[in-house]
Amino acid sequence: MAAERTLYAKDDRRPKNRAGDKVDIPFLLLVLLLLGVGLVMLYSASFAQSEFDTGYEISTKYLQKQAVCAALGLLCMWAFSRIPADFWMKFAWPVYGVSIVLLLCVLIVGESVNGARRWINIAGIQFQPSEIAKFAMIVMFARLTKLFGADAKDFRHGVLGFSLALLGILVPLALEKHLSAIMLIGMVGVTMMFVAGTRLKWLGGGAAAAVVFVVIYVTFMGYAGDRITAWLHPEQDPGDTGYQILQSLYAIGSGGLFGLGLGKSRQKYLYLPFQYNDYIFAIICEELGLIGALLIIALFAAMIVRGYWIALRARDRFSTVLAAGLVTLIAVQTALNLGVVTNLLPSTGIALPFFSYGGTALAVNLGEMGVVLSISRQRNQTKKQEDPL
Amino acid sequence: MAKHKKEYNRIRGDSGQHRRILAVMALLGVIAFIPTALRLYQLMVSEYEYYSNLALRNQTRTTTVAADRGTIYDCNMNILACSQSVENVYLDPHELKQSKADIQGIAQALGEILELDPAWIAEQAEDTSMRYKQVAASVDLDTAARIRAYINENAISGIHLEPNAKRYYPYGSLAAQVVGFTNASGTGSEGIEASYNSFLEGTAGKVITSKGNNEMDMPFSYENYVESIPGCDVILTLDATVQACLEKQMQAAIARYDVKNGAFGLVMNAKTGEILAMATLGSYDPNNYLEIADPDTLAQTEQLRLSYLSYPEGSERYQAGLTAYKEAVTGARLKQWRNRVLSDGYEPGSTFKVLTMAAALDSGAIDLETNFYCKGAEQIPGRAQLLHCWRSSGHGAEKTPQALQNSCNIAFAHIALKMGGDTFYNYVEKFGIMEKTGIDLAGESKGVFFDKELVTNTDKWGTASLTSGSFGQTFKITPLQLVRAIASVVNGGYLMEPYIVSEVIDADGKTVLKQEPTVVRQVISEETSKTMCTLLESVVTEGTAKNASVAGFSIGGKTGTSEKIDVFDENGQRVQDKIVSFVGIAPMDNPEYIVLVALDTPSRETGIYISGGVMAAPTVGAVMADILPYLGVAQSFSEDDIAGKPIVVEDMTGMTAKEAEKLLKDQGLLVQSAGSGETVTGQIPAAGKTVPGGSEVLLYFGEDVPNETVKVPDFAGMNRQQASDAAGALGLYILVTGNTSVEPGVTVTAQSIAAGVEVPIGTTIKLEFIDTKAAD
Repeated sequence: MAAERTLYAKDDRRPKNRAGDKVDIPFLLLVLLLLGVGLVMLYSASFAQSEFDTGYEISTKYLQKQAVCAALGLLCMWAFSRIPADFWMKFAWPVYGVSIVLLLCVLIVGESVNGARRWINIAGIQFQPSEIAKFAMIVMFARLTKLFGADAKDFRHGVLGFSLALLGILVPLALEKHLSAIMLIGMVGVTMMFVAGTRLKWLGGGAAAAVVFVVIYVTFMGYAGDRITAWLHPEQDPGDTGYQILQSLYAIGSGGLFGLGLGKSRQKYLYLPFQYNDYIFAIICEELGLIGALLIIALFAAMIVRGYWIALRARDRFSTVLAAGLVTLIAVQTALNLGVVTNLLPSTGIALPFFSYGGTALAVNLGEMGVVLSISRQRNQTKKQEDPL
Repeated sequence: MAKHKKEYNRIRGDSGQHRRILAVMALLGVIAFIPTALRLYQLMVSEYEYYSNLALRNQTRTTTVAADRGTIYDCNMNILACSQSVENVYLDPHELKQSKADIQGIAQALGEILELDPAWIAEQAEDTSMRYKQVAASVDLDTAARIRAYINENAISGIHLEPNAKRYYPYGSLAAQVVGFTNASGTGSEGIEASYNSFLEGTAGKVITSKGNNEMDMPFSYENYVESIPGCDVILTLDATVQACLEKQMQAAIARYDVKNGAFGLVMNAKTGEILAMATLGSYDPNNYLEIADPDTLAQTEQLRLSYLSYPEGSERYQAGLTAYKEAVTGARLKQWRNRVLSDGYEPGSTFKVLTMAAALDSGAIDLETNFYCKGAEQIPGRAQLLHCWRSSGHGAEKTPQALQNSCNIAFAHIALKMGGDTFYNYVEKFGIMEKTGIDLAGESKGVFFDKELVTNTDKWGTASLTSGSFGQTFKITPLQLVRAIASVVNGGYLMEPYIVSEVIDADGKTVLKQEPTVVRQVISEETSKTMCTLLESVVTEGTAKNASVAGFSIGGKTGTSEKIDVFDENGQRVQDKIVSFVGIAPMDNPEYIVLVALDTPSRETGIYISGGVMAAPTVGAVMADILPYLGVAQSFSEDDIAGKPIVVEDMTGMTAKEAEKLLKDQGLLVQSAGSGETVTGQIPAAGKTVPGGSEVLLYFGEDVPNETVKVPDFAGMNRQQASDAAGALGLYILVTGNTSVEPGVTVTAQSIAAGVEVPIGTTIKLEFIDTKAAD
């Protein structure tokens, strides 16, 4: 703790973050573009389901909720873009602590949706604490990176510290049986440790351990065999276990090069389940074709690359690792979601950022992008004044 | 500064961190998307056809549009079966909901048109658990049009009409087992409906439309129609008039002789093998084929139903009773649907002797002069059982014709022995007894004849099978096999393939299939056939089948009475049940038609002697009397049966005595005159009345015609002479039907005007004569 305090004191030398500094405009535009396209596609993918759910009364049931959350998320993004990264360094521990408490709350007072208890209801607003836990874990890792500095190369700092922080979050998630969140957080954590400088041999070992853990976990969940069969041979049980993925492939395949046209998906008429959340990308493919799908992937790729670019140019180590972590979170989610929808990967239940229906995730993701934008504000000064290169 | 530098590195991260972030950037920002992009290219470009086809199949619904089923006609293009267009009315609750339709209003309107409870319709309309809710089935086209008008007027979406077809059998139970019926799904399941189903059914069309899952409507529209091809029409050789005559006489026989187990009959063209009529009674109505038609059987099943319903539901007795009831119903249905003429074997009995004799004559084993002696019973070598003739007193000395006329079992046993097992078996085989006839109706069986070894190897197996076989006992063949074989005996020796469909024509009137007479093989020579015709005619004129005679026609045939040797009662005793039958052939100078009637188990209670000669022969005679004039067979009356020839008396008023006499003489009538005028002023019977040939007509010249009436006497039990005397004394005429023989044993069994009725003199009364002692 002493080292930390010293370090903190030295920061006085650095210019304060000023609100007037420009956020990274390309990154902001990319995020807004993804959000805009995402909302349009969400409406397109969800209106049939909405009409069916509401007895042909309302077509915007899902859009309305998502739009409200998007507005809330934009507010978060704006606010977080004005909060200097130092704030998160200061409050890393409380944020981490609160998120663990929230995760534990879920276990006690959480609400079940589709058989999984992952939701918590505060003052009538439902949200998923696991979304906050992801952010808390990333903040915590950035904080630890800064704390350990060059010591990250040894086991004690580079592995043990991170692992303990990771465990604090993973254990309650494991109790929730929230496999997708565990995978996501594990992968983001490992990436952040890699960025932080943890030796590759430790990471390799950790990855191996994670694989073993996943295998055991999946085995104990009891439906591993079914899932693997459904993944490799969906056509063997087209009515049941293979149904979801086959319907997804029908949607994607029938899109062709140019798609059926915006709003003209057929598979969204209740053939493809979860067409408005986890499998929204299949509807995008069907409506916008290969060209549209690749353009959207390109938007994601550009945003991710730009995000890492911001991390590279960040003022300090904490900001770098924090930005890299947040961007990684979006990148891994995107990659995993696309892999599942196209049946490259077995089904995991990971949503597509900015597109999939899900208020908490959208708001939190936008808030996280606000943090990245905040980090982007600081770079110019740092570069000019401190970077001799 | 060094310290600062180090600190800066700690803050900024070293170049290693730069590299690491760049690596992650490359991995997650670019490389991670490459497999996805390639995969998308694969799915959306390389395999586009495959997936878009699957998707289309996934998103479309195929509705089949049933083709119009063809019509079944008899040979005169009378409709035996046709399809009527009807429509089913159903609601689509989702669509109604989607279009926010006024459910109560719709329920009221539909309820009024369909005469249904509006509350019930509203209930159906609101039940969104189902895609379709049928509210009315098989609605006629007028009603459907009214519903359609209502839909259009109010622009309602959610009420649908679906064209459907209902099979209709205008003749009801007539030839029911031959025509068959279609099951609930519209597929032919018995008779012609089944065996010609592939022609009749046509090819169903398809409507392929796009639909969302859970039957959501999709804006994406895809519709594809494949027109249905109507089924072909099938024209039968069957003649509804002949069929009706056959069934009417069989029904009458069933009533008269209290026949317990139904009857079957067949009219076939002896030369071509065309089926003119084929009947199995008790029958059923194919319009309601599930209903049990026989009242007794229905009562039995009803009793079973009430019995299981009397037990608490779910109890063991309830279940057992339910099972028994269901089995009884199923059994009764299968029985009434069964075409016994071709599906069931029976013991032909003496009718089979026709084949035995034809074989023996053709092979030269006997000739017309061969002598037999019947003393009532005989111990045949190689046969353990004493062989009894049906007449225990014996027939005495007989020649070949008498053997057939008397239907003498002992003579036939000797005929078989003379022929030898090999010859007998070979002929039976050639007569088609070991094979199916090949008729174009489903469900044909081929009966069970002896193993060849049993008949031919008499050294080893004895002569029991050979001798019993010769007179049609202890084996079973189908009625159709027998009739076809006998047809070959009388038609010059040609075994024909029987058929019932003459032509199949498609909806455009093009002939798809045409059936012509097919000779399977020649079994006996034309000469033998001629001889057999003479012999068969003598059975009717002189033998056991006199009751089959019809005035004006030359009829031949053979009687049969067979015991059911394989049916046992509940005590294990062989039942005394008999099947009596007669195969009749006409006209004998050039046989064209062959008629079989078999009555299964006439009751012993009626007091009528149970035999083919007494029961089946007159039935066939009556059928012949009905159908032969209809079929255009020329009549010619011999001296003997002139009394059976109906003659219409002309109006002779104003004629001179000479003119009138000549006219009457030409007609075969006699004259009696009264009065002294120049011309005829009155006559008995009056003009237009029918009198038998040879009757006296009273002509009045100037005198008034007496206006007397007399009471009709009771003719029952009188023979020809007595009846004619009784009628003559009262000034009545008698028209002879049935047995035209003048033998004293042939007596009246029925009269057209009941005894005691007052009638004007000169009235003709139809009398039916039967030889009540005619046996076998």
